[in-house]
Amino acid sequence: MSRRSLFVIGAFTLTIVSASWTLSGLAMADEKLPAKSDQSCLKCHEYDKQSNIMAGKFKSASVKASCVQLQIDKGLEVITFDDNTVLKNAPSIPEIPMEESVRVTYVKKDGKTYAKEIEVKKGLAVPAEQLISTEEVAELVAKGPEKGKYILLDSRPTDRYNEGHIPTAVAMPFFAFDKLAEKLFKDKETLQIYYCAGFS
Amino acid sequence: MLSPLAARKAEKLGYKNVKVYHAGLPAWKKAGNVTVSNNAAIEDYNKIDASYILLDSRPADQVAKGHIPKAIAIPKEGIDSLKDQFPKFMGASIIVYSEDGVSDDARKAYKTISGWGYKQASILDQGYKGWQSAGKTVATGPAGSKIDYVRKLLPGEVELAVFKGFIDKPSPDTIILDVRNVTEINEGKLPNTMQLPLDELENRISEVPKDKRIIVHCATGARAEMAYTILKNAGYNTGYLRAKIDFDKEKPGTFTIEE
Repeated sequence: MSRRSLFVIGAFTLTIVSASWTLSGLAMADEKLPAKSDQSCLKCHEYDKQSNIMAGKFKSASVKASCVQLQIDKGLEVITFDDNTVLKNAPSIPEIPMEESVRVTYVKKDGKTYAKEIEVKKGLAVPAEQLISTEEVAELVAKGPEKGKYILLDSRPTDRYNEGHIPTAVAMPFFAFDKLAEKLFKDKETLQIYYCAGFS
Repeated sequence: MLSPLAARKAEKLGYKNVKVYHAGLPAWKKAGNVTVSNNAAIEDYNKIDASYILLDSRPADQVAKGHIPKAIAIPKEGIDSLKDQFPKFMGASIIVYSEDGVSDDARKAYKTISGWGYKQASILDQGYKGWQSAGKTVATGPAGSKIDYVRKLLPGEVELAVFKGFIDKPSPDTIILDVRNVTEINEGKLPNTMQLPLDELENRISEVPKDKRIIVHCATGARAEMAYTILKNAGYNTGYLRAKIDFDKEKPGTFTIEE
């Protein structure tokens, strides 16, 4: 596609995007397309009642081919993007972390599945006073849970924990929290440190 | 992403001293700290017949008395002497163990392996003693001396040898599809392949014969996997190559493929 025609389409997309805000919903020019969502996203979002949405886990991006790949349940979807694709909560498309939850507003453009907007799920903010650094954790781990008076908890699924975790950590997969809390916690005062696979 | 959620939950339940190590495992490893694994990891790998590397860091006489099945002994000369047997795949699961948990020997081997760039290395938390005392099967005599790691293929992935076979000797039932862009193709292409850039694939999919198996390649495997997804969703019998292909600009027609 030539640079000029890209620019023309770009300007056109911009106008319909701005129009869609006031109409609260779909831009008039866009065909209504079914929403596709990973089951995990439906716990908090009602994408099944919306349209032109694809929600799932970010798999990969190719800048050379202007495509991103999304995992939705067991299936994969390839969606194209261009300079007019609106990106939220990430500095650039190649920098979106793998496995991150993303929501794409999509349309069909020139026969291709095209992303008008890619929104990366915003990480949960942790208050500064609740954060603990690598050095602090390392110091405690060197002392051990008894001397250091802490319990280090790995929130990832158990198989990930088995394969590799911080020494002295205890497996506490997030989805088994309630079941394990009674067993693991003796009192309300002991320092609990939660970790997982980082910001992603 | 899960740890902040867990912390919120804990606070709601009335726990008063809750912290989040938000940078988590990646930061922990990056700072040069060790990670530990447990017996269940080894058992899980065996159950699904996954490939992994298990390294015994103890002296040969101790190894001979008893070791974990499938272990490779780290020779007296040290882990470096095994280096050229390590796989190219940096995500390979590697477990080092000694008599007890995190011993100096195990730590040393772990650091060397991590230093080579392997991302999924760990030390068995209770060592051989922990394995033995849990009543797990042990092997006696000398442990293995050769690392035999075969990376398991991902869904849709085609083995490199199979791919090379089709390049050397085309099959009437299979098409090798190159989805790199035109500039890249001008710099060189593999023999016996069809070209169709990934960004045009959706629109021109009818040009791809449906009665043949389509094996996709690009320069690294990233775009090939996407093309595989598009073709699979369109009902094609398809697969892709996850390998790095370089074309020699100096010598047209020459190329290297490696995993």
